Amino acid sequence: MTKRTRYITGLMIFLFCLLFTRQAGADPGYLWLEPGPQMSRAGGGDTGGKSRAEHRNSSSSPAAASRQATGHDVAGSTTHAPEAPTERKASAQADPAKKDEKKPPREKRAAMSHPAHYTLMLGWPPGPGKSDESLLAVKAAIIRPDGSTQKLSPGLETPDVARIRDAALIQGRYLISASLRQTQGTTRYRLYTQTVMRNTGEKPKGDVLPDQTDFETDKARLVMEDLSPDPGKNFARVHRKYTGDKLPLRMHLNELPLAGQPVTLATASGWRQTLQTDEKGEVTFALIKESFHDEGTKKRPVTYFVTSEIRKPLNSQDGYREEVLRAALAIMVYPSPLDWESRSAGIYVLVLVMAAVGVATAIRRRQRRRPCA
Amino acid sequence: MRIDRIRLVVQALFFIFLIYGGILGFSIGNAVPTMACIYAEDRGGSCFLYPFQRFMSLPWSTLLAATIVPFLIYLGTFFLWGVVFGKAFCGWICPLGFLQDLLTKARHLLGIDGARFRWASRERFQWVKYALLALLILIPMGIGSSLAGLPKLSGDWAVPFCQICPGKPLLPLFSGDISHLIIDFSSPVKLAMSGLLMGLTGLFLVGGFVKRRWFCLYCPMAALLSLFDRIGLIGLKKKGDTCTRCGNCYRACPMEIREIADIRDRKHMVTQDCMLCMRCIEVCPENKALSATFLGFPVFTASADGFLKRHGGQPPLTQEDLPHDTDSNGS
Repeated sequence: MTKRTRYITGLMIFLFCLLFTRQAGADPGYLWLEPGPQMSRAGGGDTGGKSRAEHRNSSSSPAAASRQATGHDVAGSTTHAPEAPTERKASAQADPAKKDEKKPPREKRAAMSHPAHYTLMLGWPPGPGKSDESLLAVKAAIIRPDGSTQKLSPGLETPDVARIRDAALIQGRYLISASLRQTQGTTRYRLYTQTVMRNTGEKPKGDVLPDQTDFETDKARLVMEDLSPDPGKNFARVHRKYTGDKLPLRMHLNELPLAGQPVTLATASGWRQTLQTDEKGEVTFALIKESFHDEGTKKRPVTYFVTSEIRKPLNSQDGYREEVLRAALAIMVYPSPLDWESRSAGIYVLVLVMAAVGVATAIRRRQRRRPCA
Repeated sequence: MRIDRIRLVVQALFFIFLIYGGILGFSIGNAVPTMACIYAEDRGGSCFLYPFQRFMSLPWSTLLAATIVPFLIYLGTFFLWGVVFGKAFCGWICPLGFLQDLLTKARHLLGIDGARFRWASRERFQWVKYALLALLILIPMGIGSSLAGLPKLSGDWAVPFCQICPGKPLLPLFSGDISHLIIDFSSPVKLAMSGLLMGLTGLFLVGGFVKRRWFCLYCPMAALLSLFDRIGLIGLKKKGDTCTRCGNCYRACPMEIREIADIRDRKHMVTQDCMLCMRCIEVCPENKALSATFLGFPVFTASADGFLKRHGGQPPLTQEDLPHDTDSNGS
């Protein structure tokens, strides 16, 4: 093979790889909602419950941090940096009239109230997803416990974090869903995600309507419904799943239960399990421990993902040959003693010690009783 | 009725109360000087040592300021319990002691001989309970404050004695909780402590079967209760001039306290290992040689008539009447 041929072959391989990776990268992957940092504050939250996106941006974006601290709940609303206490004090001293000025009434919130605060992510879980301005096209909506429904507009809180928020003022179960449509070549992607949160704030004054799930008029809507029981007054479980918990899910397509549909659970470290839905479209996963680890109770929560995909051929007039429907669910899984404790090891050690000491004692006593030769 | 049978019934009642009392809402607090485990969910009272270690792990600035009043109340409660009942907690109330007595009963039922420590061995390990007591104070202190300029210990060292006490896995078992039979892999300290706990629990069960009340020799609670040996309201008195040194008391003593038979010139006989089971009084054939007192008044006194009545007119115990003594050579 001549030198020239080698160059041409190398160039062709390079071009092929480039083309292939571009083609592969064009697939948008899954869309999911990752609980934002405000989901893990008081009421069972601890400071360890930051989302991955928050970890990524917490150091680089103090402005975002201050915005989060102010707790504005409406996406896209203007936020003002809070006055520093010393500045406030100085200005009050300079202007005595300001002292008497009535403060605007503060929004009343119950102590245990949680806002709905989610980061939109796109990618291939459990790999790192991206959250950028392309996700402003996501259609999101919330159904509140009083039955009111509202569309949520994603807001770009930093250049690479798109979030949706809702004040979630009343107590009860909130259903948040998001969808995104993308096309690539002759393939049409429809990405769906929905999640359930429970707010422990004030009780609603009116009647609470039953849950609704059909607030989007999307005929080919793929829904992955989390059937986890309501935690009631167990505040520690409001937004949390713990290692060892069960995760019951139901798959719907076009409002009909989807039987025999493969659903995949992926842990943060990449372990996967695929199960098929039963005739009711239901499937239950056990949130397994990932492995023994050396951090004990200090371990941070990790995100597990559930994904499901339907591919079907199309023969539309728009020229699309294939449609891909994808649904994803991201769950924060908190550590439980199952992560770092082994009951079987404990019982083995106990039995081993008892057997060893018992046998040793018996032998020793037998030797002592043996008459001298 | 023989005193050891009465004692077994009282122990069983206290065991039920301390393990299940919480179901009915009864509780005698968490400063009880006995091994009633705090990890038993339905407990009717819990061991003094757990909160004590928690208090000791607070920084000095907190312990001596914000928490000084609860700490003193807590110590005062323990002091009152100790003064009123003293070592009777070990003999009549302690759930771990009751478990050991049950194991001894099981051994008797199976017809297996028991064992005794050599006197020399017994004396050699007397320091262990005091060392454990010192460690359960010093280690928590090293968590909240720096000891002698050393770096602070991690939270994994918290409640160190409870982490190795056999009561932790065993007593919750009676309320169906097996979650403490574990090896904890979260840190090297936890791994070592939980491994040690399982090892000691195995030793406790086998040792309790082979030898009467063996764990009580190393119990730091017994070391703490020794503070009340002299000032406790319950006492054990000996009249040296009536004692014939027959040795019945020593042979019957579950704690194998030799002094009870040997010493004739001391009035107070509540020694560091005595648990006030009163078995020595029961087997003493001499009139008023031994007596249990409350506030100085005798409540149970040795007598020849009583001895004969309790033992059906049989002569005093001899060495041949006792189970085969495999480990005592009298040296």
